[in-house]
Amino acid sequence: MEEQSIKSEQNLLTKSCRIFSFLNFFLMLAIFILVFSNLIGINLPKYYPLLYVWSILPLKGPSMGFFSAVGFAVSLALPLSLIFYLAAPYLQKYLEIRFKTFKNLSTAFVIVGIFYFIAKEWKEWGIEKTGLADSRFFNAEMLFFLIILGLFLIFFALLLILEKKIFE
Amino acid sequence: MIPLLFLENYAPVLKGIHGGLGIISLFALAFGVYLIIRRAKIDWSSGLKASLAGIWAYILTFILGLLIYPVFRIKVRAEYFDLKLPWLTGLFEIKEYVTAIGFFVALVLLGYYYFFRIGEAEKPIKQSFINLLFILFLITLFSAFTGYLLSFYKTI
Repeated sequence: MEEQSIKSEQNLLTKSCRIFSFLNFFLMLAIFILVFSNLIGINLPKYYPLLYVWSILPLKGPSMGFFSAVGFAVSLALPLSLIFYLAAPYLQKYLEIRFKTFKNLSTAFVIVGIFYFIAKEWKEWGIEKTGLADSRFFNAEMLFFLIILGLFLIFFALLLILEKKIFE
Repeated sequence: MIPLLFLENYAPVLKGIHGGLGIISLFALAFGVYLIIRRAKIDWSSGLKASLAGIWAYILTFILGLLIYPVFRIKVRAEYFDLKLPWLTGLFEIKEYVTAIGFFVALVLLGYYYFFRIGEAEKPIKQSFINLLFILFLITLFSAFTGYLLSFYKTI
């Protein structure tokens, strides 16, 4: 059990600081890899449940890429985070990392990651495949964009209110 | 003729446990967040315990969801939602990825429990813990709502 405190405003690198930044770095990296691999369409192995096989090459029938996406994100984020943990004292010398930044950054990554998938999947399945897409300016996509933006702001405001309520 | 899918015979039972654990997770996290927001010292301790139960229930729910996914993918999604109700597939896809992010959050929260005494920890740790816990609660709430909406239309 680690009992030392985080001294976020100082340049002291306690073990707690390293662990705190390691955990938050892992979270940010895992979300980044999940989002980025989805965005650029990295060709990961997919499971074909009707054929009982995993394949990178496209096969006939429904496929499932979700297992690989999650596994890829965790298996890459974990060793990289460990490297970050080990390298933190050296990085600290040159970068003067402010550990409080990790708290805000990791929260931001979580929220951006969530809204990326809401926007991407609903655009495909809720608008395009249901035939709602058209060329008008104020179309279903624009309306959806505004709803997403509104939800994003409400979500962020809720977090800020929560923090304020507890710590002020 | 569709061959027997992975865990197909056990899928209804696993789905029931998946739903039950999801509800446990939702209530435990809700209770934990409520007690932590109330701020009293005794509430912090109880809130942390309830939250820990909620986090473990979330992780188990996520793993069970992965196990029943092949059956859902074929019997529900491919045969029904993709063809007739694509917006439900969209909701499912959102739930899938959002719960994956929730899974990462849950792992990090477990790390907080293991490495720190959260109740006595410094402000940045507490703030980060509460932010992530609250987000996990909202993810669980959204997932439960989506899961029951999907089940209303068709289930495995």
